[in-house]
Amino acid sequence: MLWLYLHFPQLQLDGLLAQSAPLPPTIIVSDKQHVVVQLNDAARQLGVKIGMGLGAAAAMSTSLSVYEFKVDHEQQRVEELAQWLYLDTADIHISAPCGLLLKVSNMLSLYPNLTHYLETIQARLLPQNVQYHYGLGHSPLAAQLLAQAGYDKIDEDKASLFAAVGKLPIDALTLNTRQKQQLLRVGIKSVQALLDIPLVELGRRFDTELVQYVGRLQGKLHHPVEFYQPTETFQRDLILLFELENLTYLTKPLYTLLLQLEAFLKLRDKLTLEIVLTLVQRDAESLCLKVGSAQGEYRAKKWQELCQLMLERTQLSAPLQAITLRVDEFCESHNQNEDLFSEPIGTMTHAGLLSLLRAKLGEQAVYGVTVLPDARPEYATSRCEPSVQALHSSFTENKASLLRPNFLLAQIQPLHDKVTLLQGPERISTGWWDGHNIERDYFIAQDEQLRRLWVFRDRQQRWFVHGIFS
Amino acid sequence: MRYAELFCQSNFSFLEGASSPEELVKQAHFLGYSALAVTDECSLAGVVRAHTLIKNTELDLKLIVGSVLCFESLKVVLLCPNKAAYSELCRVISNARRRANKGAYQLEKWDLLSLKHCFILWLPQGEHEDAQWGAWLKRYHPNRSWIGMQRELSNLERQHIKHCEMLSERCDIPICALGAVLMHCANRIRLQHVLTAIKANQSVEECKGQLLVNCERSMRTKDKIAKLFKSSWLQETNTIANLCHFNLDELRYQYPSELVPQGKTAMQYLRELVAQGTQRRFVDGVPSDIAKTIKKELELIEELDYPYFFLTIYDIVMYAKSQGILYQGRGSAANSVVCYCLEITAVDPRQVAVLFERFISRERNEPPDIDVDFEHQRREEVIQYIYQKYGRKRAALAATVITYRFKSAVRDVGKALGISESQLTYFIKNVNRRDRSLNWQAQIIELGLEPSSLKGAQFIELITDIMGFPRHLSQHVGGFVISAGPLHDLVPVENASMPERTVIQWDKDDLESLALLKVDVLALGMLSAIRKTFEMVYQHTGRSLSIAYLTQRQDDPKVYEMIQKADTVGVFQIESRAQMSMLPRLKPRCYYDLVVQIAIVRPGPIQGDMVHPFLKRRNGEEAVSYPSEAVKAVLERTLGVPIFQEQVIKLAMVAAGFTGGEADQLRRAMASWKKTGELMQFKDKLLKGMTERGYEHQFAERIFEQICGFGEYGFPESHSASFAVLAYASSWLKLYYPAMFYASLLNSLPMGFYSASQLLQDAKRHDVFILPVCVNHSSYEHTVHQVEGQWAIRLGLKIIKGLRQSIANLIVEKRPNNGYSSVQSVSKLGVDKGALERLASANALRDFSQDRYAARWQLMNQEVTLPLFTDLPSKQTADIQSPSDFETLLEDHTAMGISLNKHPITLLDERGELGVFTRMNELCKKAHKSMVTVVGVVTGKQSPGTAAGVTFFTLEDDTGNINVVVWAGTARAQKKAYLGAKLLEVKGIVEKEGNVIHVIAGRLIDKSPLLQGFDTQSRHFH
Repeated sequence: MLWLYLHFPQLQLDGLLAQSAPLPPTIIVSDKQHVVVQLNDAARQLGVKIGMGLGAAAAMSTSLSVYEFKVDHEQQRVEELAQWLYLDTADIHISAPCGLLLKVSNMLSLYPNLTHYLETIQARLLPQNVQYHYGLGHSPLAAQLLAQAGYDKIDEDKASLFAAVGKLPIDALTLNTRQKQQLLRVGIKSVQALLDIPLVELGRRFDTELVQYVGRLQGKLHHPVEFYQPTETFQRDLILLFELENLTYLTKPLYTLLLQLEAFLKLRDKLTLEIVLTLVQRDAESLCLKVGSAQGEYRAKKWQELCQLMLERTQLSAPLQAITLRVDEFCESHNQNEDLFSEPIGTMTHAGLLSLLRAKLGEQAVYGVTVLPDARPEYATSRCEPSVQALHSSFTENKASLLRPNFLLAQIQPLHDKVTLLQGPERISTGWWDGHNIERDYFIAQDEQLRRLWVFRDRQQRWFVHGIFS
Repeated sequence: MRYAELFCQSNFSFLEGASSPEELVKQAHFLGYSALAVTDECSLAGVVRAHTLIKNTELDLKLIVGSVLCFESLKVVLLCPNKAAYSELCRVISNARRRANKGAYQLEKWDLLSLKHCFILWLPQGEHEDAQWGAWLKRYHPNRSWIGMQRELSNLERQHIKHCEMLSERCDIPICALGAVLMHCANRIRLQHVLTAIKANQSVEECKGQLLVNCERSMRTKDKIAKLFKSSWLQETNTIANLCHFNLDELRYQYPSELVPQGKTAMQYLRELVAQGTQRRFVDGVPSDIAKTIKKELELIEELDYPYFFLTIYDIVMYAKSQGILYQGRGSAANSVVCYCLEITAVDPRQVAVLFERFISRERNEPPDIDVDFEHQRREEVIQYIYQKYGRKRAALAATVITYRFKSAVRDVGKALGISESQLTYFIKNVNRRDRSLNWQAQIIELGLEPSSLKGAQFIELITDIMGFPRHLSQHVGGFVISAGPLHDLVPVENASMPERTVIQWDKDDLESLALLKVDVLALGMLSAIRKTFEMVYQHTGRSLSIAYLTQRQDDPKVYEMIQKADTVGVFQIESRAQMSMLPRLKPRCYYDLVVQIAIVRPGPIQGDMVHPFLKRRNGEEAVSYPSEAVKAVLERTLGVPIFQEQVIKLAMVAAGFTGGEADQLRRAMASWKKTGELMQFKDKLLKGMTERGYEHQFAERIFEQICGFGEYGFPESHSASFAVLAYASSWLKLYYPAMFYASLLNSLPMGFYSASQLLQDAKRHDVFILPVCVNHSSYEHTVHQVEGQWAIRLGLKIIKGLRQSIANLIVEKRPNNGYSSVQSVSKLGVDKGALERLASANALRDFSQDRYAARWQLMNQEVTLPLFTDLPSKQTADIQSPSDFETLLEDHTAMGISLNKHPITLLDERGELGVFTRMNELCKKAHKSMVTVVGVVTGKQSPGTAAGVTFFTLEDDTGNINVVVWAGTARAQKKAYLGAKLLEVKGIVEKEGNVIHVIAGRLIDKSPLLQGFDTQSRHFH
């Protein structure tokens, strides 16, 4: 069986290169040991090497750009690449964190020859702007080792491929350091030397893991691999029979799509928090509308209502030709029926209300309020993402409640009226860390209308009103 | 109006107080306070500093000793009105501290109940329990309790004041006014916030809720205080302050009395011991001048009342002697004839008659100083003896205050400001604190910190502020305080991080300020090596040696011949690169020359530019002259050039008119000047004093420069004198018994400057055979044998990294007469597989395995180690090649850190990979100032503080060590090779001075790739 392995040595750097070229000397550093794991040529020319510590690398030049290595990022990118390659080849195994293993044998019946197959793969990768090495092999491991060693040759001859693997040093093996050390310490320095030893002899001296590894490398033992399955998303396109200029006529066609979604979700017992509606306009950019439901929903009817609210606020710039409904993420349907007696009053839940308000007013118009432990009154509260739980907790949590007015002026105002000071001063003098330091003496005062005001005096002895007590 | 601050925490309330005790004292005095109580949380660590400042600058400010303590919801400030209260407080703090882990404390109700003398200022917390606590205080501590009222101008203060007044009325406890000071001035608020954040292990932004909201916890003016507090409360405060009379100067140290036999006074007993000692030390009778000195010294000891101190040390060293532990005393008092007679030192007074200020100085008013060094591997025995003899109640170690240094400051302040950890690591790694041309601030900016940004400016400002701040107490390396009664009557004791160790809350300066004596029990590796050499010499030749024996034989010219050639690898003190380069220039000819040699290669003399004048005068190239007779008396023994710390201090007295007390302050400022910068205040006085007395301004400036240099590494003659004895003794042993000397050095590692590998290379060059480690011949330790009439060192099993001593001993004990014959015969002893692997790696199974690969291949076969199969012959089953020379070298280094096989340079040269180069042994044939190329393994890299901008590289080739000097400019231009090279080629110029050859580097070429995995450890000294 023939395998092709693609090794991507610098996916994260490739991502940076794609964004801007030329890149200044750049290194990517592992997050724990602070060791250089990827670098561009400019950095290489300064003398930085892979495996160098951050300190040593930094000493070479002060102009290095340093990024932290993100393994998740690489994994995601590999999956993306797999998705692309899936268009050309069937059996793909994602070899974490930065490699893809392709089963070639069955594909050769679909392609004229190996060269053609490989060219197709390479053509597919070209627009992706990624650096890679490839290797062929008669076992997954053999292909992987050659790819990682940068073999990059088209060759399907079993003997010559194994010979190439044999020439690799022990260090090239994907064994752990301890196992490699063990081999080196008995004088086994090349892969060939390892392959020359009968498995039985190895079995007496090494753990089964290593024996199995060697067997798999030689293709003598089966090497199970799991093949990539494209992730499931919901996407339905609908080309409209007539071009629409008025969105109210969209209700019906949209509803059919939503019903399909409902069926899709019901079948899987899932909910979704957000649907993406793309409106394709003639000779104009498509409009992308995101409609959310804070508590998750599957019913076409409910989605229809939410979409309707969104559509009411949407303006078409050109006649509508088609729509796409897409859902990428699903969530578990949890039992919403609380017990009989604690059923919320009214028919609308908090989450429902929130969805409704957001759909009606727009995402940004609805926010929550949270209390911060900052002593400066202006910074003691802040806007936050509205959440159903937070509504209850954030106000009650506030510890020894300070004496503060319920109504804080949005802008402080100079104090013009005559007032009587009732209580104070409370001195607040802090905030140096963000540059907005204040120095104020706060008092509770009463004006002539007997209103209780929250006033302060600043360092220049100027007086201001900041709030009004109820 | 009078005001006394009764509640004030210094930065010894770690990560809370934001001002030093000194700053607080100065500010309190400036604001006209009548008294200041320093009341750190469960600690008295800061009070002595406050006390010392008040005393030295004669401030009109009363210091009150106290501490703030928390127990459940009760928070109180305890103050000491009198000595009894002070002892009580020490006891309470000690108990609370001893119950908890290092850094924490745990008070119990009983502690508070047992108070009989302390004043209690109660700080109600506004809790429900307050009423109960009030009643409790009234019941158990009537007339000694107050409610402490604070005014912080906080939001809820009104309620708090009402609450306190209500408590006062209900419980009938008077209210007093407290400032609750954490900062000496308001602008320390940033630092206080940062400290709070560090304590919470969060950034300032993250812990906003815990920060002080204003600066009211700083010292406030009396006007402001008068406005904030009711006059009746202030009245109470002043009453309390007036009732406090305790002064730290009342503390008197009581020596342990059991050292003196009954019926004798301490002085009588000391005289007796000295008399006995003179008979031992001066077998041919005491020379009359020495007898006179002894008489004088004893009179002085009696006058200053120090006999117990000498007896205490005598007792300790006698214990060491009885156990065969080698020791040596040093310090001003140690070089007395009395100490020689008491066998505290081996410095023969006949040899060191030149020594000038050898004893406690009456006019300088400093306490006697005796440090005793013991063998480093056996010092613990001495410490245990002290604990056992005096008990933990009466003996404890002095503390060392660990303060914020540059690195810790960057890390903690950076974290508090929310700067990312990798950025901070980057700053720390790349700031060179040795770079005198560029201060750290400029360097950090060069590394990319934006100084004009808010964060950037705050970062630099706060690091500057926090540096020198105490962070925690640690144990002093060996300074013991021993007392007659329980120590906790004198000073609080707390747990150290080492189990079973206790430290007092004061450091050595504090002890000195209060004239409390400590005994320094230190560890010195060279003493172990010397003792082991003595033993080996006795074992193999029957000759019995001792340090005193060597010094009594007077100077041996052959030894000095060797020293002058700088052939001093392994010798005490004069083995460092800087020392070695000075030896051929200074050419020591006698003991006192060594004393000078050891002290001269130090930052003090070098910064003061004293070295060159001294060398010139010594070589007769410059006339010796003295600015005055008084100066001549001080400087005559060093040819008119001040070299020792004592001389500089004495100069301040005779030439600049310092009083004894001032000179003592100068000495202390020198010791801590990096931390406090206190030294600068003496500059004017010194320069002025000297100019007034007719000395040249330039001379005065140089003296001051030197004082600054001493500040970093003060080196007194009294210590140099003792070190010189050890330097001489080790040189003598190296010359006459090299094999035993090197074997003992190896057995005493880690110590000294050189690694095992470097020592062995040097031993080989001195014609000592080295035999490899072997299960059939080696002991655990390295041993000495005669092979064909020549001395050889047989490496011991201890050189094998990771091999447990118990297993090594097992192998040695159970060894059959004809040795082990197979892997199985060793494994049968019950030696585990890991150990067998280590033996194989070190090639210690060489007697029955072809090489280490074969040995390991055998070992790995599980059948071999199963009992049933032990008799089966092991057959070679796989065809594995033998290791190459290069691989052997690598393996040797990994397993043992040394190799007896070919040197890497030989191997690489054989492979033709090095091109044309000059070896160490051929360098001498090169002309002075000629061009040369050398190659070697980098075994040492040192940029000493004594030579700005220079790095010394030691390159080792197969014939010896090459000294390479790299100037800062060269290093900067070739950073890559300078920083990273393990194998270095240097093209440069030969510099010859006498027998010393240096290569001044021009080009550095990194040849490390040739070494691949070669594991040579370069030692870095920063």
